[in-house]
Amino acid sequence: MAATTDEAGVVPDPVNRVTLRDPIRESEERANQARIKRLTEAFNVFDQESNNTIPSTELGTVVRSLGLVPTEGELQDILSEMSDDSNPESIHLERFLNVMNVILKDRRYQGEPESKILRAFQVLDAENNGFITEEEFRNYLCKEGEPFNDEEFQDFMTIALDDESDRICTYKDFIQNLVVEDND
Amino acid sequence: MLSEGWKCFCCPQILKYPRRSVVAPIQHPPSEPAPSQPLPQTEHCSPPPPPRPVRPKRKKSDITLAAVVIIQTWFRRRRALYEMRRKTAWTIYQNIEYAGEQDQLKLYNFFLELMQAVTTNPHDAQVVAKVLRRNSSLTGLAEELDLKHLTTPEAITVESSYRGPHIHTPIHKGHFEALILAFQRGELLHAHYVLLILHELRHILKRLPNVNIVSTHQSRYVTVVGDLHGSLADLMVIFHKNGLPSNENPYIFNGDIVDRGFQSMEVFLLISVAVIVYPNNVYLNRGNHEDHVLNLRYGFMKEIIYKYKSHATRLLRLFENIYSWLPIASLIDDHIFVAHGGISDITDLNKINEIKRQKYISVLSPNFIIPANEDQFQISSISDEVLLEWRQILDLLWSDPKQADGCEPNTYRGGGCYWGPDVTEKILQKHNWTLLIRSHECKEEGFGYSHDKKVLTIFSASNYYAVGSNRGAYVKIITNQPPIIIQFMATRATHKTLTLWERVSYVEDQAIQNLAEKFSVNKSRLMKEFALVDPGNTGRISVNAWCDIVSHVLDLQLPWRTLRARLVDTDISGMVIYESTFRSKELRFTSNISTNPRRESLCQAIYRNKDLLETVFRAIDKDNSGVISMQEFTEVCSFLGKHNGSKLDEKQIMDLAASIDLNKNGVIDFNEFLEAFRIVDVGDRFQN
Repeated sequence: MAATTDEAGVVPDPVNRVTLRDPIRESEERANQARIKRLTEAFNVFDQESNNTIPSTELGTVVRSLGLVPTEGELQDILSEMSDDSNPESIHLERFLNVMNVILKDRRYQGEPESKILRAFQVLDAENNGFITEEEFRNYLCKEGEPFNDEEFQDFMTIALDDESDRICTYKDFIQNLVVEDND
Repeated sequence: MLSEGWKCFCCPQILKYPRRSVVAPIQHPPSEPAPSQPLPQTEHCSPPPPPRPVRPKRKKSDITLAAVVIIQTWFRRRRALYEMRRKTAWTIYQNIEYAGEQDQLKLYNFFLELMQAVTTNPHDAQVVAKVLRRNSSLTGLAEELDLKHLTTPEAITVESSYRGPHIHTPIHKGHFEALILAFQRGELLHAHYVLLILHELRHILKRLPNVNIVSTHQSRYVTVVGDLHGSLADLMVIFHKNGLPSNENPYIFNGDIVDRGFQSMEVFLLISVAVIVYPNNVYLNRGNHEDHVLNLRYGFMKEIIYKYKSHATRLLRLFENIYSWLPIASLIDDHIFVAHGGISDITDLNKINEIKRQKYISVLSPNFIIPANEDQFQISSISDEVLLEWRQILDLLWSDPKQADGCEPNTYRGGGCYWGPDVTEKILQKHNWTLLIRSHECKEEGFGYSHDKKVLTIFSASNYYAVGSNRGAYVKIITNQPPIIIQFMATRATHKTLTLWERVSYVEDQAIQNLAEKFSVNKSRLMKEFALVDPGNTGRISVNAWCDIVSHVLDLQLPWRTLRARLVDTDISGMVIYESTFRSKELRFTSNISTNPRRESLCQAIYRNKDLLETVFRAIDKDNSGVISMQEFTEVCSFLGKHNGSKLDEKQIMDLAASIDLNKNGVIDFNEFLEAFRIVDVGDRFQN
């Protein structure tokens, strides 16, 4: 609001000028600040040298820990958006924040809903047994799509296996385990 | 169509493929094999199979592919959450460790400053002098005779009731093996024999140069072991996997043998005997913890006093002297330099060789630089020459590598430098070396490379922070071959590798408990600040406010937002119910005394400073009796209070001591006093 003279012809002190508050913008700004803080915190956990960079290899873990569910291919997209050609091995905090802030705001990479995951298991369970064996899992998960390595597969099987039986997994219960809530 | 190769996320040429089609081949360059166990991000990459054309008719496989990717993607998310939790727990441990070290060293720097200025308060001066005064102020021949007189094994007789191992000169392999068995059974070696072994060791060490010259010419290899920190379990794993030391199986122990772990004495003795039996094939480098000043604080002194009671003074005195005779670095085959901490921009082998290392009883605060008794309070004009020589040895034992170029003082640790890749390059060229091996820093995998693989960190104490927190590793240097690194983790069930889920839950558990304890000993301060941002007394504050306050009061930079859910309760609207910060741990007295808010706050302040208080008390207590005068006790408390801004009022403390009924005839058993405060579990444990 521009300063106007009052009746006595005195211009009010511009420092005391009143501005209209915009509650929507303020709340957006607060949300933005909160996002930035959250992103920075996650980033810092992997910033070993405290120099505002993380190794590119850790991007997947950081992004997923924020609750996003990108595929490896989608991660590659994200990486190429924020990586620096002169230094491809590390990602700088600034670029990370810019790219991730937009991604969080737009709520991208939210992943498939639980119903689709159930369907996914049903698809793999070709004979409709109600379970998938370790061998079958190995054939699918380690050889197709975006394959698991040994360590990933081993960890996968430990949560897949029923406590009683050794080889068989009932996938309905398994989904509970798979879709772990992010604590935030 | 099956794709054979593993996917390397780090490799640049990954093809992006759309979801609902046949898998396109993944092209990536072959990578070098991982040292032993493959790390998640670096895998073997094999050359890609030839591409198959897309066949739109095979719709079933498209759906299958999509299904597979869904499962893989969701699993990776779960895994990432756990990796994040593990890394966060790791961050907690590292921050707490460094905060503790920083505190200790801030204190010593504080003392140093005081010493160098003309003090107006004679009381303060005396406290400082008492802490930093060495056990003996003699030098040269007088010192040597005094040492021999005080620490001769003849002064201690071995009772007929003693059932442990007996050691006699000449010490041989049989003794070594007997000691291993005895220590594994939990037996204690008699002080008489400890002194015997230590004197034999000292005799050998005195003849050694500052830098061990190690050659793989005869044995074809040498094994380098990093920090052990009193972990007998890890030493046993190493001997089991790599064989006992011998003339055919040489070892270099790269320092930090003692402190932290509770079997520092046993580990040091075993290594000493190895040196005595194979003096030309077992080498020792001094670590920053081979220093009586650090032993005060980090456990070795406590261990000796606990295990050897009335003989502790003698043993401590001898250890103090032996440390000064330890070599400070090793050089393998003229091209691999091994030192505990690392190097700095001034590191020079010629200058190192000239140092009379035995002058440095303590490397952190050498007494010939810091006045030994309270009369010498002049403003020290330490010459540049003296300072530079001190830096040569300090930097070797205390430095850490950093990613960026340059060399700057290591303020984190309070000693040594952070040195960059350019400094490494320069020094390798200057001396014609190819590799620097160092320890000093705990690594999750037990080892780590820096500076384009020209610096190797090797750390041999597994489970350093908590069970499952990290692996240990050692390295074999073979003539003209690249180093081979072997990892291990000392657990009861060593045959079973823990899954990621198991490791995370153990490690996190301990870390969260540590934080809960910190909350309880900062309760008064925290509640005060919480109340300030909660004028309406609702008991609730925003997440942001909680994170800021906790970070500020505890002075710990941690991912509080990520940790919050495991530490406090929130209400439906997402506000933090701040009283729940103290839901799992509470600081209590073991005896029944009346408490009021002021006294509670005082007790928390005392507990927060417990380590420092203990350290200073122990330093003052020259005869290691556990008892100091009430006067000294209150002086120390208020002195430390001034140092870090806590209010440790003399009168209040005396009242407290009186009410715990510990002030007996003007002296106080400080161990009893400190033990009167305990952290106990209360109410619900933290949520999982």
